[in-house]
Amino acid sequence: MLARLVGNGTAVDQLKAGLDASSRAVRGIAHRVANAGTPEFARALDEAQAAGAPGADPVDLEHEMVALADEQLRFEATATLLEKAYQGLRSSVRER
Amino acid sequence: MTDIGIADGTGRIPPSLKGLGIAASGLTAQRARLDAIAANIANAETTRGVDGAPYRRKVIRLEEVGFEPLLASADPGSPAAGGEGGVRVVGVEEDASQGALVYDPGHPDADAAGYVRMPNVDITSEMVDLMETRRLFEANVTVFQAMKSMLRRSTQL
Repeated sequence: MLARLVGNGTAVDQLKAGLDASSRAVRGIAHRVANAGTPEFARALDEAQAAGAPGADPVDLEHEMVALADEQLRFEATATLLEKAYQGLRSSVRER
Repeated sequence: MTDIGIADGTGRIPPSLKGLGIAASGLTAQRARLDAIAANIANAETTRGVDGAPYRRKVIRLEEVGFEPLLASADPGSPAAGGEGGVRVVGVEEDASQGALVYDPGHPDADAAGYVRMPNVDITSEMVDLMETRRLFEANVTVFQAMKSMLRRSTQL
């Protein structure tokens, strides 16, 4: 019953998905930054962009750093909300 | 072995820390480039290399490591759970171009006409490479720190 309480009627699932999305995004940024000096990677991105693939812009370090800061803040905010959601659940199951 | 998210000493990075591995591979790659630049600058005037010929500029070749974003639904052990990602140093190559020919009859490596073949190292372009390498290293450090603070935050929930 508690499992359903955690899953339904609260934002916990959405928030967890948000954390997953943020860490996936940061992993992508890490890969692009790690390959910022790899000529083949730049060439592959150019080709993908010419073919019309989304998200295949050439690596721009400033842009990646901004995206990183953005994702970090998003992660922080989501984690805080998740903490509050857990706090709410905890106080609702506590004996009085 | 049960994966509890701690490096197990086998060199395998557990899935939860793979993101850090990506940033770390970037640091390794830039450090290798820095080593090559250091060797090039140190040997900018070396007219007799290991093979007796003038020193040739060293270039690090980098290669992308296949990247597949980790799927939330995938089983952590399955291939669908993502390629490692990051970058790999393939090897050190030599710049095949010829260095400048300098007239210096007193030089021990001068030919019969008094010309010396210098290494094909251009200090200015090495300096530009050095700056680029340093910035890329810093960018990878920033990413590493961001991931570390996110991991730490998720342990505090």
